[in-house]
Amino acid sequence: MLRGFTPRRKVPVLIVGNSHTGALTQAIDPNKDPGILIVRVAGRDGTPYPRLRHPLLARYQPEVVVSLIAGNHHNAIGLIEPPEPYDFIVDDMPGTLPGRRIVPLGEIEAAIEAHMAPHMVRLDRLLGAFPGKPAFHVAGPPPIGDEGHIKTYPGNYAPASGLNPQITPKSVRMKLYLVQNRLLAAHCAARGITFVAAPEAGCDAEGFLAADCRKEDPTHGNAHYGRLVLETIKHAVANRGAAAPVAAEPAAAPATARAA
Amino acid sequence: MSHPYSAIPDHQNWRRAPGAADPAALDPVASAKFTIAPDAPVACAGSCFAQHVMRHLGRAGFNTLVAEGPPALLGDDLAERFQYGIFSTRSGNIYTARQLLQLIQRANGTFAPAAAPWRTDAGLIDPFRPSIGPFASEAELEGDRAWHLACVREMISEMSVFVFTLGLTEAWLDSDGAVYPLVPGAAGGTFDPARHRFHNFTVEEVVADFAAALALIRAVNPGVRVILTVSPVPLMATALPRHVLQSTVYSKSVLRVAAQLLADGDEAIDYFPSYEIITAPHTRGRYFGPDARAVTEEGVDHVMRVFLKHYANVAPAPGSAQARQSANAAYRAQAQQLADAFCDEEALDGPR
Repeated sequence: MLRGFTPRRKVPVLIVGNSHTGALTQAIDPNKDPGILIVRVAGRDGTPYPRLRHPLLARYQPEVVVSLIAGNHHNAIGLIEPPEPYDFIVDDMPGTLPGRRIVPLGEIEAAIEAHMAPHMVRLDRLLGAFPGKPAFHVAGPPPIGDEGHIKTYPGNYAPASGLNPQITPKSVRMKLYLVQNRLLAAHCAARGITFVAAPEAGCDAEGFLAADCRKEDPTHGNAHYGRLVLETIKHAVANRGAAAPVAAEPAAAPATARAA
Repeated sequence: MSHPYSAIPDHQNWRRAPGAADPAALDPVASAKFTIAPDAPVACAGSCFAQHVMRHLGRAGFNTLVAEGPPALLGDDLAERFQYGIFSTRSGNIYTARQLLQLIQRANGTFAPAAAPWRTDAGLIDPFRPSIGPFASEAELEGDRAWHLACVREMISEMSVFVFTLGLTEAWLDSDGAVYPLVPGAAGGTFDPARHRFHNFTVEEVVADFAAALALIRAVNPGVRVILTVSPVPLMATALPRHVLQSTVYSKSVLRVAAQLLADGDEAIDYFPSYEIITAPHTRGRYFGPDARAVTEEGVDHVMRVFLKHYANVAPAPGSAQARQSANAAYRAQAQQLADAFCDEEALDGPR
């Protein structure tokens, strides 16, 4: 072997993402999830995301690539109520709250796209590193409908929310999430990436993140939600006919890696 | 020998008034009726040229009033893309005094045009703001329009000075009298000769329409002062069977006369000769771009230099180091702004 040369690590399913991989990392089980490797490239505690570098990706030789990159745009843009409350109309939710400025959907889409743009570059770079491999992108968890939970656990949003946090009404936040996912799905469709929605079992009757799936922060899922996402990923991979994660060679044992 | 012209000041005498030899020294303002305090909210509306006025006033430190700002989630670049901050409200271009009057009437709820949204492949277009949108649904269009009209009311009540640029006399009217900023069919909608009629506003009509608009404004804001200008930008096209230059001269002449009549009859209305500065023989046409229509940044700079001198009591000398540095630093952005000026009339110059 050449000095300094390390062969690529074979991985049946490589999951790469930012903070939303946390729930999966907590949930991954060597017995249930053989052949799945999770690589988190997000910094913690609000530190900037590192660049998704080619040398990092070059360590792996996956059969299937799954992205959990980003997914929190709807919260970053819309969790905290702005001074000028707004609402907008989407096909799935045509109603609007009274007394609010109605913002054209095109402006909402443009704002989300602008926020997503650098993350989509990361997504494209990730999948570009593994040409020809089946690729999936998993939606981030839906918004948390319960304002009490958000106010109790404001997390990184505390500085923006102030002493008396005003949370954007959940219907508006759900619309932002729906638009975000529609834009993400279109981005993926244009690149042959399978877009995977958040697991229904992790949602309540209105589509918000179920109470037993919430982490103690305003946006993320917990280990239970992570388990649901892992099962969703395995189901999606299997149904696509790609190399399903099976019991693999020792090198592909369940593991997580942190590149932040 | 003494005669009425023997003792006139320099600016009343063509030979003695600066500008012929040094175009940059041209200043056709004898005296302004009032000055603008730095904190006085200044609202801008009108035709394409008013966009330049709004931009330069803000850059010069005036308290330009943006009553209809972008939603909180839009960044600055996106805000401009969606035409926030181009004028004080997201009105798009208001070319005629009748259009201004009807906008205020619509904001007050006393006029509701019958025209339905124009349907295009991209979505719905508001016939009275064709440069805004498109909208995804009628409900969305109506919601945004309601917000816009509320912002117009806010602008009217909050502005201390209203800068309005008269742009055109030629217009297309709906059967209910509603004035379109752009003829139906050019950027959406369908032209219906049985419904849409051409009208060329006269001096008397322009004066009456603006006076009526101002009366509505004063009912809310009696202390408002007005600066009228006439856009020097020629017509893109004329509906009349004559050369577009003839129609341009007619239209600008009507507007110029109307502006003077309005200013002469009201102490709170001043006329600012931006039209004269751009079109003056002194400048030998240098303030028009290669298409002989778009106004160059150099021309806009000249206009705003004179404006600031008289209304803000500041006089950056032409060619001063400060002015040069400022101009150099802003050059690229300004050049782009010129190219990007949103002008509905461009739609009249489509491929043929």
